[in-house]
Amino acid sequence: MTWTCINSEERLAEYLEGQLEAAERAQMEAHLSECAACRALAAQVRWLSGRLPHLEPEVVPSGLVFRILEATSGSVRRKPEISWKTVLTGMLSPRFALGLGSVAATLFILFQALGINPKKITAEDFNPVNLYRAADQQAHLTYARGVRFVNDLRVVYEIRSRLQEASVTPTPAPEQQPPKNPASPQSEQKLKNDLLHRGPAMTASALLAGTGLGGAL
Amino acid sequence: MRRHTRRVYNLAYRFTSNRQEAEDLSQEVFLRLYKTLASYRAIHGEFTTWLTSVTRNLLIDHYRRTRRDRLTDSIDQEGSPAEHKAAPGRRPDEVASASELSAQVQQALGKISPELREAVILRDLQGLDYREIQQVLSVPEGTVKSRINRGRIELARLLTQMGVQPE
Repeated sequence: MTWTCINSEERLAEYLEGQLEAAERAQMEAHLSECAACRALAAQVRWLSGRLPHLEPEVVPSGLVFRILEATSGSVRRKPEISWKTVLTGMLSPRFALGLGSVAATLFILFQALGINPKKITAEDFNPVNLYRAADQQAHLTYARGVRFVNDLRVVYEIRSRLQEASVTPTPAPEQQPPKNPASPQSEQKLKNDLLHRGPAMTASALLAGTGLGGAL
Repeated sequence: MRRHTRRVYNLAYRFTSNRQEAEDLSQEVFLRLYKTLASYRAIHGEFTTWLTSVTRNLLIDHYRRTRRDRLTDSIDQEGSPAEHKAAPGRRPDEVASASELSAQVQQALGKISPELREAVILRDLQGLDYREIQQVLSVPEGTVKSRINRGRIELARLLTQMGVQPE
């Protein structure tokens, strides 16, 4: 096979990269030694292939990276599209209902705490002096109610425990009983039932007077 | 990020020979990348190869889009003196600087066909191996080798015409 200039061009890259087989390489070199044009071309391509990878890269324009980041990372402020459909859809979502409920509950608690009647709200209700006064009054009231409730509970449980002790302990002999205790087993049972039914509303003094435990307390 | 930007910008600039177009295309590449990042899988190869593929596809789209404009421009410029006339006898050691050679290579790249241009850019300027170029261009390995070979030869001839010769 005759090695032509076309063959040289077609196999030039392989020749320069040392990928030609020995026989083809010999034919190529024989042709290059005879053909000045192909020899010059091979020299130029060899030189170019060596220079191209070392060309200085183009300098990236300043600000390009920043603009790309701005365009892709979401920091670009896009005008949100608002339509009635999106608004209504948002309002029907469970998250919105939950939020609305939370706001309503918070307002209710605040109005209760500040003593504001939601049906008759006036500008005077939001006067800082009135707000402070109402909050202070409500705080004291709440504290007083709490203290009273705890006291009532304490008395009632104390009495109940005494009654339980009385029902478990054997009745002492009549001569050993204190002379001031007029309670009989029937009246004791009656008072016990009365206490259980009336609860903490019964005053401690009435209970103690009935059971004769006033001296003990 | 900066490394990828440099790669994309250089590829775009070498292909278009226009800094403004390269800048716009680089932004477009990253926007497209951002939108399609979820579709990237390891089977697409290395990220760099995928990035190059996206860039290359955009460049080809851009080339097709602007073909008519370029034809009009070339007709307008017909008859006007060429910017870089051949300078017979000029040797590489006379080349003032590497940037001058870079500009001459750029000018020559703009004159060869886009298929050969992209192959040479990917191989010799971007440093991709044959397998990666095969993935980027979606053509057989033989075609890749052939295009690189022909691209280098055309580039070498053009540079010779421009007076750039080896030592």
